[in-house]
Amino acid sequence: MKGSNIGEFEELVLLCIASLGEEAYSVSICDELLRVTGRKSKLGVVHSVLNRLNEKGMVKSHLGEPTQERGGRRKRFFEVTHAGKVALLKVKEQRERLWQSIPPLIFEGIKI
Amino acid sequence: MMTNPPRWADRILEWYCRDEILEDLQGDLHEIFRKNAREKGLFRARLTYIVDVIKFFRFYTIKQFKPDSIMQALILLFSYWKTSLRNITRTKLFSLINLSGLAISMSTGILMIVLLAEIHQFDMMHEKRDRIFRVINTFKNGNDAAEPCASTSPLVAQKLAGLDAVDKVVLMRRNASGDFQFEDKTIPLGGFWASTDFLDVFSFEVLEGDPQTALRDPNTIVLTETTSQKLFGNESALGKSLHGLNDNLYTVTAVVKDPPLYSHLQFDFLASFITFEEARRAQGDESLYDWSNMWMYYTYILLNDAAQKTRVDQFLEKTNQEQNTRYENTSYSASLQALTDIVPGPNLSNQTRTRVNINMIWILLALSVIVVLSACFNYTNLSIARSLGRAREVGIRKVIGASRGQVLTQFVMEAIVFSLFAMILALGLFFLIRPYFLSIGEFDLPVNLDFKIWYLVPVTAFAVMTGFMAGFLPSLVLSKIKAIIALKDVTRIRLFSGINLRMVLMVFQFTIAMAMIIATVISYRQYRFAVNFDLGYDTENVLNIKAQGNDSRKLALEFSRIPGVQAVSRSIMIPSTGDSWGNYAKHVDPADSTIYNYNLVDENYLTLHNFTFLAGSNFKELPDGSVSREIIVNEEMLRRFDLGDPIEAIGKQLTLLDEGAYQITGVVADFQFKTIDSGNRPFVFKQSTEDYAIINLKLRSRDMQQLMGQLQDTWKQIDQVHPFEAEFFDDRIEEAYAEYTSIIKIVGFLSLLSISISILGLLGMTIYLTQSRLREISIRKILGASESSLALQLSRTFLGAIIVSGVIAAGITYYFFEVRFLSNFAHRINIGILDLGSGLIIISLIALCTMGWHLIKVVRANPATILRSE
Repeated sequence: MKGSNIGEFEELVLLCIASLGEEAYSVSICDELLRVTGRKSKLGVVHSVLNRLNEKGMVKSHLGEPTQERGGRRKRFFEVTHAGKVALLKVKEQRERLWQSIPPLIFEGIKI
Repeated sequence: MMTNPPRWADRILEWYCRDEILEDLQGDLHEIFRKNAREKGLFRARLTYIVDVIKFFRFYTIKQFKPDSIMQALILLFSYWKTSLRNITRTKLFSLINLSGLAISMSTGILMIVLLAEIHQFDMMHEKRDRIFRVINTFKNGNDAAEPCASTSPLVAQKLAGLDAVDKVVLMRRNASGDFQFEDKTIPLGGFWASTDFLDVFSFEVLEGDPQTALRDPNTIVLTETTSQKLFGNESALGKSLHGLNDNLYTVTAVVKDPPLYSHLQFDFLASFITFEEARRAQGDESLYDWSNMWMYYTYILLNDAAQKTRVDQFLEKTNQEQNTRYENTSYSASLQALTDIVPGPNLSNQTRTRVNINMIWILLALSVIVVLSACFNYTNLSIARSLGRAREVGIRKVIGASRGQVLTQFVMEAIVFSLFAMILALGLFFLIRPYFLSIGEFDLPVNLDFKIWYLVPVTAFAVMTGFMAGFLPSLVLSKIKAIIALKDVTRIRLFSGINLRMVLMVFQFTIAMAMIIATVISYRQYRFAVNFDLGYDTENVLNIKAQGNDSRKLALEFSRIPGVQAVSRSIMIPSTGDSWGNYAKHVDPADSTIYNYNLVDENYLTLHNFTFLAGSNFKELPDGSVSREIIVNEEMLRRFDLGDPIEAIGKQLTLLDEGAYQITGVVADFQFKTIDSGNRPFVFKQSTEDYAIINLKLRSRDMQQLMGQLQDTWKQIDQVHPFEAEFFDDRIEEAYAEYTSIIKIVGFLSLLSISISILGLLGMTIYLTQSRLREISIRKILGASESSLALQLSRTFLGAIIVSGVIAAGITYYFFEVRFLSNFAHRINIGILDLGSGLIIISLIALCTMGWHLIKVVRANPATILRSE
């Protein structure tokens, strides 16, 4: 199915959105990414990824309530769609299958 | 306290971003900005913000142009067009004022565009022009200023021919002119000696003959179409023989089309260079390839590849150094000049006939820009002043839904429409002023300012740009007007720094006009000064006649017979008009030589012109065939070689280069030999062993015309071929300063323009001001104010502006003339207070008149009628 493959960064973003629940908008997604992966991603990168995901149908967005701190400008909140959840689960399953077929010996004694 | 990101960056974002995303995107960016400002400091935050705004300019964020919106935009534009027209016709007086101002200034703009377009075409017809370079030479002697020349030594050509980078070399000599005879026809022609590759390098269209071989052999000649017609009529010229140029026989090997007007090389014929070379050699003259022999020859080279120019430059540098070691105080430095840089180009000496000084072009350009700006400011001023009147209209438009940008567009469009109308007027004006401009022929500008249809493109672009410039500021002001306030209470509107800006613009206009006036006055005075300058000898009623090859003694004798001819003398050149003949002289020290200027004259010359003798005696009549070893020198020569006072100097000897030793037998007082921008050099008068080229006549007659007629008849008896060529010395001097007349004419013309524009502006402002204060005036009048005090009060602001402009204009022109321009002259006028004040005086007078009659009309009006109709 066209567009059902997602890249690594897209996957991370989707996971962040899912984990943030109600508070998932571009700036908070950036912060969450930083917290979990340690990668400082620019707003522009995240923004365009969100746009791509939107076009692929993996997320949908709605505008929230205006807040004082942004001069009254509303935030755009994202949530993962059904298709997005499916894509995430598929990726997870693929990874797990691959992991299962690797003998544990290879990773013995390695600390991160 | 909330800090905000840079407003201008925000504006850019708002401009390009799609409405759907704008809000949240901008919000996100602001949030990040605040965070950065807290954590990393304001500077980093702003920087990041700006960079982000740029980075977000992407396909998915920018606004989409929907075909509907284009259609809407067009319809809107059309409605603006209609409104503009309506507005223009409604306020006829202001429109007329604005229109005239713009039209006048734009006509100069058009003139410049046409001029530049024509000059750009110079030498464009040569196919290989990107690879053609002329070798120019800079001559420096001792402490004199370096003199760059268009001519160079043939040795350069020889050396360059050996370089790999150089494909072909063309060597030419100038002053190839004389009479040519074929059968019974004798006609004077002017041209060049040119080497073999001339027709290959330059693209002159060959009508007959083989360009490759035409100039290869000695005694061959190439004619232009017109010359061929003159000599041979409709017959083919190929193979025919002509007599000319030192009585040689030349065979015609080719005929080319006349060099077009846009070629810096103009000639009637080209004689093969090798003829000249061989003739020189036959005479035993080996000096042709001397490095210092740089005055008469031109060298052009064709490179294989224009990129190799730097190699040739380096080679020339090396050659300069090698060759100049031979000369002590003097240096000749050759360098390359691109063909396209010749016209227009720097002011070199010894140029071929056509040249356009690039400084002149820059000055003209700057001046026209200033004039156009001046008119734009007029429009701006008047429009801003009238904004109040349009406020209600703006209010309604905004209420209906016009965005600020749309209001802005409307008014800019109005200005552009205006400007386009002005352009039509300006075109008409252009054709009017064109003959006037061309008649400033002292320029020697080889253009005829033909208006080609495609010029309309740059001209229209220019008109649109002018409209935009003029209308932008008022549009900004108008679009800022808040709708509610405009509709509710018009008088409460604050105009954006209205008064100060308008005053500044007005001061600018007046300053320009006054500066022009002052410049004209000073230039004119300097010109009259130059022309009337006491040269140290008499030039009044002296007529100089060219001998043109005839026996000067016979001519002198015949002329002296005519009553009215007081005295006759002969010489080879005419001093104080820009020509100079020079040589080198030594005294006792063989290492110390100086350059001097000279004139070869007969025994009557010095007395005819009333030179002041300080010591010694005049020349005596020289019998045929004998040689005189006597010279008469000026005081400067005495100073140069420390020869003591005039009486002591008599009898001392000087050695003249290539001529031997001469004895000083007379000393004359210093006189002005060159034009008054130069000082004096040592000068030598000598008697000539060959024939003299010029006959000088001192005339005295009540009927000059009859006398001239007699002279002409006498001439015809001796010479039937050549026309009688005579010129009064004083006229010739005026001609020498002709460049200054052209400057005066142009500056004078521009003064008229800028004065008209400023006065138009002043008139408009006055009318407007009085109209808007009608109520105030009438109330004051009723309360008892006198008419004069009212008038004074109304005009106070303008008077202030005029005085400020006067001071600034005086300052600017003083600096320019005192420090830059006049300092180049050895002899010059002193700038007086009256000169500097002339601008102020004239403008004040004109301003008083224009403001005056209008003010009087207003101030006299019956206050009752005004208040009733308000």
